[in-house]
Amino acid sequence: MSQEPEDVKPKINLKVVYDGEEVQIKVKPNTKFAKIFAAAEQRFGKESGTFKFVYEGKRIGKEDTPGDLDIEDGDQIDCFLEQLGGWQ
Amino acid sequence: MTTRTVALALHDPPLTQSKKPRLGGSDSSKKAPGFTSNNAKLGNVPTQLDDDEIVEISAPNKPKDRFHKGIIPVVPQWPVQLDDDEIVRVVPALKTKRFLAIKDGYIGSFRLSPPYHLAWEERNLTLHSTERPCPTAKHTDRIFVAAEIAKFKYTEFDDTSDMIFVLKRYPMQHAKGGPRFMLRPEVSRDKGIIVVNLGRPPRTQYEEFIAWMKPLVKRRSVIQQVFVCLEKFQLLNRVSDSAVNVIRNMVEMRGTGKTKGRSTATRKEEEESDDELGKWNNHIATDKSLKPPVQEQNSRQHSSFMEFDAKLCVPNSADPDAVLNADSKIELDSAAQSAPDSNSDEVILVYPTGQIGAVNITKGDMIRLRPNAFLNDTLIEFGYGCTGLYKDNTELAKQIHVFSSFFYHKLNQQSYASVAKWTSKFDLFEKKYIIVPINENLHWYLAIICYPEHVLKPELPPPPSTKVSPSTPSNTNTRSNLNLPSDEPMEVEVISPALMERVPFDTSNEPQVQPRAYIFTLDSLGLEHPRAGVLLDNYLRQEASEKKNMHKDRLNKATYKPALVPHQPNFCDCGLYLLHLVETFFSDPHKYANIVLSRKNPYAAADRARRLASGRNRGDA
Repeated sequence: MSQEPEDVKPKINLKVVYDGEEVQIKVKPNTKFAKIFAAAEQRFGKESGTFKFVYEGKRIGKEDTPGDLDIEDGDQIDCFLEQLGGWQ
Repeated sequence: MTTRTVALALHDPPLTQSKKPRLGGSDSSKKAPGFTSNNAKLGNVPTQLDDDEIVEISAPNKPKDRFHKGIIPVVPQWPVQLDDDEIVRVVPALKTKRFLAIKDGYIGSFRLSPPYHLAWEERNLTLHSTERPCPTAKHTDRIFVAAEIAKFKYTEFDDTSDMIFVLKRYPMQHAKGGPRFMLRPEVSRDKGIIVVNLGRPPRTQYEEFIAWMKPLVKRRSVIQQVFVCLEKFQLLNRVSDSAVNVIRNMVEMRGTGKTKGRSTATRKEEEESDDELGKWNNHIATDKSLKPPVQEQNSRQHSSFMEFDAKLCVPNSADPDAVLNADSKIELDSAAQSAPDSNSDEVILVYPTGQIGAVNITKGDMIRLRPNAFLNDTLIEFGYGCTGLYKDNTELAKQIHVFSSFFYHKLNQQSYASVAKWTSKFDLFEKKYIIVPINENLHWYLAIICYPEHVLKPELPPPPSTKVSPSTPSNTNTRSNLNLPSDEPMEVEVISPALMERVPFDTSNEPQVQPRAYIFTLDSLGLEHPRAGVLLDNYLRQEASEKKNMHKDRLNKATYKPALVPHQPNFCDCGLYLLHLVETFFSDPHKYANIVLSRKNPYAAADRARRLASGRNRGDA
């Protein structure tokens, strides 16, 4: 029942980029990013929670959806490892 | 004054008095022996007055006078001089004769939200939850300094900054003499550290306090760089304030069962009397203006907030002890470095809630707040994301763009194209200042771009006084050995020999801020980063040619200049220094930009000190 309107929306392609490597993920605009994160981390062979995800310079929260962030088809999402700083 | 000293004499056993001659000033030492020796013998002192209060004062403490046995009793003059009213006023002052107000502090996990004050007498230090001595303090904590405290760190008096001291208890003492409040077992070990910020106390009282502490604690040292402690204090308080507000809101929502509008929620809060909220109120700073916008949270997060409860005030991390001491490894360290547990990515705090790009503080991030731990990107973003510059000065906030710490990483690793879209929603050249936090080789430093709009203006001929042709041999060449990626030579101010003879920096002259774009790097290890200067300069010009459709040759270059900033004394605090530098710079960006620009010679600090010294010697001769 509730699935119907979701299916009408077109799926979008996300480019997830880590260190020059690129992974394509196809998602619905209302998929929560938690799912996308898990998929991306699996593809890059990392444990969950390893990456920080950034879209156009802004952090993405797990509860956000591509629709919330106005992400369009083919947009790029960057992954970063945690940055730590204390000394050299 | 007389009433006070006499009253002190009544209560203080002579032993302590003879040890502490400064306690009551000079007149107490004159009068006290006379009186105390009388006191044992002359039961008649109070009767001279016919006043009940007096009987009470002298009753509890009968000094056994071993030291003053030989002194001939002198009939004291004081009762005759006093009015009854005055004596009544002295009575409450007896208990807490000397005190200092506490601006902020932590006992382990417990935050001493103002009002709090500390008082000291004999060998006890007491913390009371009132602004000044008053019998109705709800929470009182007594510390028997000589037996409980292993280590004492303090700041030398200085009226330009807040005074901080740190006490570290002996490890075994926690259970017995510890504070009387509930703590979960796993955090209870942390309460052995007491950190207090006294704000700007009156000099005499502060020095008296330090003088009193010194003989009681053997291991003590002076805190050198207070602002690092303050920065950590602020970071912790921000976390705890925001988290407390989030929790308070959730308690409200649980009370109402649904999400409510802001106004309903606040009203509900006043009605709410369930003990959970009451418990929180103890922790909550009274300052409601700090409330961040808080939105609905789901129930999963709810449980994590509640768990966070005891750790909320994040106290172990408030330990400037560790901040200051690279050599003293604290037991917490092992915990901090241990592998993150399974739910370390559980979200504890979202700030600011409900906004795109909000920072999620997770359990794993909290570990980064522990002593000697390195700050990570999330905490850095959280730290400067909620500095005053966003709250207090919205005009200024509009002029500033803050890049994520990943920006430089990406620019450095890849190319302009990879970050081109990061500025798609606004015009970078309308900003006056751009903050670029940089993380390289496990080290944080800061780049600030000033006045980027000048990149768009055509190049001016360089003013002859400060610029010399790049062909002049200089130390620039050694610095640019770093395989610069671009073919353009870097632009660095080169100092002519004539200028070298001058005083290193003179702020007396009005610094001429040329209409140029500048790139400053602020590094607490004192390193220079010409490569960052080049990368950011190239970025600015590429951005201009892409977004403004300007030809590259018509663009002005940005000038790179490393700023001299305080150096970190250890290997773990650069994140805190970065936050402090952001905050300081943007408290008055124009002024600080001018200070950086007006410094003619980029000497290292030691070099500068030597030059100043030699200059002075020359002057003397």
